[in-house]
Amino acid sequence: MTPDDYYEAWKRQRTDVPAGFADRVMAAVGQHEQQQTGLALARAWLAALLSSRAARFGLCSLAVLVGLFRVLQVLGLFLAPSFGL
Amino acid sequence: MSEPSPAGRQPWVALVLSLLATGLGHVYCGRIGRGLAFFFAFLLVAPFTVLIAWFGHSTLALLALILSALGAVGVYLYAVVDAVRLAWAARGHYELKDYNRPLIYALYLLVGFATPLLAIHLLRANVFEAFFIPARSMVPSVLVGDHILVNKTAHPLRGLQRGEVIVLRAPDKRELTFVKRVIALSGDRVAVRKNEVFVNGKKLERERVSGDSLAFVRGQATGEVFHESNAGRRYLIMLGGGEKPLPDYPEATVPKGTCFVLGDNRDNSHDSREFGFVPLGDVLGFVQYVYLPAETWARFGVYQDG
Repeated sequence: MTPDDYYEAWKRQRTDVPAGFADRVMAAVGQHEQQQTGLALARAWLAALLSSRAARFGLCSLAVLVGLFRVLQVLGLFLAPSFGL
Repeated sequence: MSEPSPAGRQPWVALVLSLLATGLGHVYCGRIGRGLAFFFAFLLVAPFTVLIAWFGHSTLALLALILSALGAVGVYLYAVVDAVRLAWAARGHYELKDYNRPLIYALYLLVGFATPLLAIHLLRANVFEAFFIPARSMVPSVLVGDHILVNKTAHPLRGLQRGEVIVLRAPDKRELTFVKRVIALSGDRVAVRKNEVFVNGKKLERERVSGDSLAFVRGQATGEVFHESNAGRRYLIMLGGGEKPLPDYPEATVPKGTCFVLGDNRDNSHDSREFGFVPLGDVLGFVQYVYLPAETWARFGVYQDG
């Protein structure tokens, strides 16, 4: 074999696609699109939820409660349980 | 009139994020440096409390401790207001920063919410813990209605001292905590006979105290008040006025790793005469401050005997 033959053989080896390669690529592309659709749906759902005044009010109220808890926790250094006798 | 850009900041989101984790509202508004500064300023109360526990032993230190807790709350609330103000200014237009990503928000939220909770829990478990006194076993030293701060850092380092007022987990009722005075330590011989206390064969000296200076105690218990001396400490005790006399305690040597404790209101105290020696592992710490005293504000500050 001449060097050119070796080169041609090497090139064929590089370009020969393994069996089922195209199917795997297409399956991966489909999965990715599905994921993107799921993410977009979740984002759209979240945006729709947060666009309502009631949801915003609910979230703010919840956050204020968490805030109160955190303030009480800091001041809790001075909040005392009871002793026995 | 121009439409707000989709990236414009919304004040209510900044409010929610800031309330959940100090500084997160600033991250949302593109001011991460300022947000982190608020976060660490809020956490400063923790090392400050440790420093007070180690080095502070004055009324001024107690005031500083109270102010540091109030300061932490102030920083927290100011950070919320500041984040809302920044978001309001950027509600029309905002250029997204690299860190304006859901993952960064989630991580900051996790760390920013959990760290203060953990810090305060550790402070209460290992540095200072507050207690309220509902019972009169330590009258006239510690009164019913007193709020005290117990220092938990000192006794594991330097050990207990005779005459010290400590808080302990009750040996016979594990869910309760008692405040008592250390009378004898490991290796000492101790006995109580007709309310006279003997340590290493020597009776603890007593001296009657006139009632005039202790008028504030009279509303809490009746009995005769004495100064008792133990290992160089002089403190007040009360005798008489009990519903029934407490039993004597035959002479015994305090076992290794334990101590013997009594209440200062000797006829109204459930103490070592009844539950025996206290393992040192059950001692939570010593009474360092009275931060909300009963009867008179003259007792505010460092706890002082007699």
